[in-house]
Amino acid sequence: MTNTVLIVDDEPDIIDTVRFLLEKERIQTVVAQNGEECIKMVQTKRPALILLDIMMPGLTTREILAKIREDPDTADIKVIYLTAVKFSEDEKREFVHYGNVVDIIEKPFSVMDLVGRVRNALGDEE
Amino acid sequence: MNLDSQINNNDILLVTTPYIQYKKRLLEILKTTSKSRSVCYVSLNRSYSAIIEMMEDNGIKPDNFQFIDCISKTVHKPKPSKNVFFADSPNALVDISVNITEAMNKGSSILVFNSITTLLVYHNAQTATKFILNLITKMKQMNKKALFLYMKDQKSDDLLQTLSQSSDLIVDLSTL
Repeated sequence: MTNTVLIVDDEPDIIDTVRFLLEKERIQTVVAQNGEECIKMVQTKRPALILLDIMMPGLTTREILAKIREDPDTADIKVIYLTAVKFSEDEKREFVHYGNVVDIIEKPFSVMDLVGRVRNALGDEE
Repeated sequence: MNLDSQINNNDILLVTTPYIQYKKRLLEILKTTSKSRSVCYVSLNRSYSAIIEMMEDNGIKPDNFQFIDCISKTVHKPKPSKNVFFADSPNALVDISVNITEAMNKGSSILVFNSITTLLVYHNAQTATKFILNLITKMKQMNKKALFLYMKDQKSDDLLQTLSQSSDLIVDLSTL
């Protein structure tokens, strides 16, 4: 597994911003604009971490995670939800205790916060 | 004129709010619509659990609401509750429409749809327009009121121009 972050978002502006921020910090990135592309990138690039937008057309978050988890080679890839959807505090606690989801970043996010939390999630690999 | 009077005097309202005021304005809508009405609230961007949490924090009782949560099941398996229907996703337009009809038949007098902006994340403008126009026709046939919320952006301009022809009033909450 590489030390690469896969950014998955249907908004090109968000992808560009997050990519710029992470690459400035010397974190390698690859991108996908929907769930189907995400699965392909996971299989071919084996990222260490996925920044996954929850609100996208096509495959749902549950379907994407199910596909990642069903393959033993990708099942351990860490995931951070990047979301404009509002969830309750109970739900957020439930998410980060489920499988490989390690954090939730709510949009709009601060630059420092995003980079710090990505670094934190990548901690083991750095 | 305040929002309550505007709802009393009109049946189909397109309501816009700037993103920065979104939560505050949503709370105003929920308070106003539920004061003397039974509400069917469709959410595409906030989970049922988060809506209840927000309402409790702001002193709004959920008793007058029937909820259609279109987002929770895309992420996890929500706990069933008697006043909520969980759609599989915002893609499930038929299910959402059927459950809106059921909620209105059960006694809701106003539909609050949050939001057209989020619907456009999941559907192209043509599909989204057709869906909203169908809902407007349905509400008119059922003699019910409806309030469609959106945030101003370039993406939704054409759609809103089309929808405005079938609406009674466009409300800009930032000016109230």
